[in-house]
Amino acid sequence: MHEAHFLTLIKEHQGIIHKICRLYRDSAEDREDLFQEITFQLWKGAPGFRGDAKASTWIYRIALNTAIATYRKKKADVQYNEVLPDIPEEQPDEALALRQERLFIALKQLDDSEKAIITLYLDDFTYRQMAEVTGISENNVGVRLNRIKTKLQQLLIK
Amino acid sequence: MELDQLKSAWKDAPAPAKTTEEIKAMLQENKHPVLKQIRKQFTFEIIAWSAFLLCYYTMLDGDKKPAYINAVLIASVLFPILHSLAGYRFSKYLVNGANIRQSLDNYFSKVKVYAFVSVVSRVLYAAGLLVFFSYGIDFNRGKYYLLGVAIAAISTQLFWLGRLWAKRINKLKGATLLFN
Repeated sequence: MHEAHFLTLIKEHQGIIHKICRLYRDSAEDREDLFQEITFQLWKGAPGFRGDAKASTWIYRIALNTAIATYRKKKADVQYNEVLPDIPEEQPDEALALRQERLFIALKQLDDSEKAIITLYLDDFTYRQMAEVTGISENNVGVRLNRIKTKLQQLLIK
Repeated sequence: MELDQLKSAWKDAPAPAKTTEEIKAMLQENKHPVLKQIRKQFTFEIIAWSAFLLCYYTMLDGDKKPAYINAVLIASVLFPILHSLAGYRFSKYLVNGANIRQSLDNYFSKVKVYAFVSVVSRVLYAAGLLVFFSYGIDFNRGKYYLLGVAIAAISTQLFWLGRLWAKRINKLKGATLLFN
């Protein structure tokens, strides 16, 4: 893959990398380091990407893999609120922002594999695609996903 | 929140946009935070040990000791340097597998071997130095005491190194098991 093509691809899909960084790291500095590490690993892995799979599938696989495998500095003591912020009904932008905040607070409380599965689900991956990315069988993905959805709903109604 | 709302919240999550130049800079090894750190340490070690190897022969009586003792010292210094070099390459290629599960399994196996060699190389390094500096010395009580203190200090360092690796390995094992 040519560098120019690679840069365009990353620029188009950088939202995926940012979301993975936000989900798997707590401080701005750690997220920045992880973004760079993921981009670097994607570049190293680019010769192996022949376009058989969707670019987003490949990016998710490398990004999640890198986020989980790389060594994390000792976590700052993050305190999650017992009660999640209320969503105002009348201002749509503010409501969306709060919904996103609530979602990320809840997602961060899942374990690494649960985070990986739910992010793929939220981005409309099929069970088969999720199985391909994670290496977990399709059936197992389905079972786990149901558990994660229940867990997430419970975290969101707290 | 309904599942559709969750999906739209995820898909529309704001992300700070990086410019092409910023992304391009991230592809370079010399801008990589971890590799930069390893390279810095590696350069320092190479310079320090090159200076040591250049001077030790005359200044530390290397010329008065048998060739095999000199060889032990050189090997014990070179081994950790080669190990650092392998570590640099290892850090460059984290992802190695068709999916996350396979890649984490491969990575976990490699980290275990790397950690083991890391501790062994530190043992060989310490042993090499001790053999070199204690060769030909007539030991009396005071010198045995000093040797004991040196061995205790090295053992403590090794214990902490082993503990550090054990922690990292356990963390990685935990993450690997989540996908199995």
